[in-house]
Amino acid sequence: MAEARAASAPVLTTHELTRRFGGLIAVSNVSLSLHQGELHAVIGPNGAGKTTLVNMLSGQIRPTAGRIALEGREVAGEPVWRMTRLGVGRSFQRTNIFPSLSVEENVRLAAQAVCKLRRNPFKPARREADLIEKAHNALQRVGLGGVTTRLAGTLSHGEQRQLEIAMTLAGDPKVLLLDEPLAGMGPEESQRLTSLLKGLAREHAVLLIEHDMDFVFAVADWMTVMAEGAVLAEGTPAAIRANAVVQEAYLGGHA
Amino acid sequence: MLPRSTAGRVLLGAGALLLGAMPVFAQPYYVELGTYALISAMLALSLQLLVGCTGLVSLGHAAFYGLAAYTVYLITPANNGVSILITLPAAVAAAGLAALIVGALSLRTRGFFFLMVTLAFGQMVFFIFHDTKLGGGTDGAFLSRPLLSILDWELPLTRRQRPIATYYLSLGLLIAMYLSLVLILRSLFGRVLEGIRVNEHRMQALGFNTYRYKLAAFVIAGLLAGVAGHMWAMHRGFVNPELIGWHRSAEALLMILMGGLTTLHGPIIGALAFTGLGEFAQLITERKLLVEGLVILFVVLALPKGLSGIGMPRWMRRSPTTDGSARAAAEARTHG
Repeated sequence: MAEARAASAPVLTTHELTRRFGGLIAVSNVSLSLHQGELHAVIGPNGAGKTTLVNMLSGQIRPTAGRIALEGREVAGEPVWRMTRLGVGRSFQRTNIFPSLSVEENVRLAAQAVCKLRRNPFKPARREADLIEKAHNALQRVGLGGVTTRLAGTLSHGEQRQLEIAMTLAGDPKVLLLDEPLAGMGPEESQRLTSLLKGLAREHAVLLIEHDMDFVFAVADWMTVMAEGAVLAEGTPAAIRANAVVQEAYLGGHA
Repeated sequence: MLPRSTAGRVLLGAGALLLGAMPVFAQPYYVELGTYALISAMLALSLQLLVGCTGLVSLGHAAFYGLAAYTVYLITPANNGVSILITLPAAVAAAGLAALIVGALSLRTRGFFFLMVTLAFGQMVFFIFHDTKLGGGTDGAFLSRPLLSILDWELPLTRRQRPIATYYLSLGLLIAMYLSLVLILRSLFGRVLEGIRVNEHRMQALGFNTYRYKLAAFVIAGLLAGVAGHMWAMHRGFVNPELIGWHRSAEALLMILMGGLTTLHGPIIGALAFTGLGEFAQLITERKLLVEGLVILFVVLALPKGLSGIGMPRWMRRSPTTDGSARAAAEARTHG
């Protein structure tokens, strides 16, 4: 693995991150780094600990041991809401939106959650034009600009996945954690998401979990392969494709 | 939560006018009953901020209501009324302080456990007044009613006029409470409460410290319950531990259930209906609770959206922003 990597300083790094559930070690001594402008894919079979890793990075669960540094600041064990406010945004594997609220309101809440300005909380929400504008911008980016007044629960599955990403974007993240953004999407929607992801990776540090290997190899700049909670290999997509250990353990001749 | 159609708003305004005109033609007994119904409506409305708006079901809400009534008793010297300008803020502050303490501890739990912890806190407050001499023990105590006075000038009221003045004060406070909650629900803060009701975990992932928002809602609900408790003390001139007990909390929940969980005017309609139902049941039978229970059961089974969900034909329900059928479909999906 001698390939050169993005030269920029890492935005987020983990050091020997570990999570145990009782006797089970879900994630074991994982050290990796996410860089600005790099799309970092984490692959591995079911139960490899990918989602547990994302849950620790986003603050949903506490690490048992190890460190997480965000721009040099130690953040392991911070609650999820503070992680988001510090700049770690995530989208969920299972669509997790507010079905009875409008599409705009779903995204507006995301923008409100992280707004830095001190605001009067009792001011009418529809007078805060900057939040609404931010929501519209995020919706435009994911291609939902035309359905802002619809109720989120009435969107198609693919549109709900796009909304999920718009909500993450409206939170102004530095790091984007995307947990299977393609799950259940049709080919046309996947196409649009692929180009969106490539664009996002230029401005953010992106960690992507995905099972669709063709998609992963098409978009990833750097890859980490996990198995049974530990890092099996890391490197550029080409190096991973050529790696004999990975071939045997996971890809099974796919590449 | 808020009436979306013009027709709905007109109906609400007409209801308020009807309540305003009631003392002109009703007998004194019914004015007193009306005051009681308005006070119950304030209690139910304050609880709706938690139940319907934030998704927090509390079984200890009457503690703040009762505590406010007892505060009026405790600061009133025997045989001498105190100005409402002193009793109202004192009662509301006591209720809010209690809500801050109870909320800070109980909001660390969720769902069923939250229900049980609020019940436990409510019963603790109940037994403080039940088992000590602080407020006359189990028998309760009479107090001089707060005076409608400013500085040294007291509103000159005869014995007959006083209940009418209390009625209008209660009505005014109820309307003010309703309008404040309308503003709260439209605010940045209110939008967060709605998000918490729909999907609290997602709100945390978006970056909201939901505990703080829930605590703020809990304290506001406690303050508003304090207004209702104060008006009870002013209306009846009597306090007893029954005001605090879980029965009263459960009644407030039933009023919300009867009137409708999804609207702000639901608890008001529910409280008026509940009080009327109790009165009617007492007239026709000695088994008042049985009749009440059966009617409530029927309403809840037949009207999932409560009394506030019936009545308006489709053309009146049209809302300016969202297609009605789409909204219904989405709500069915969330609640299903």
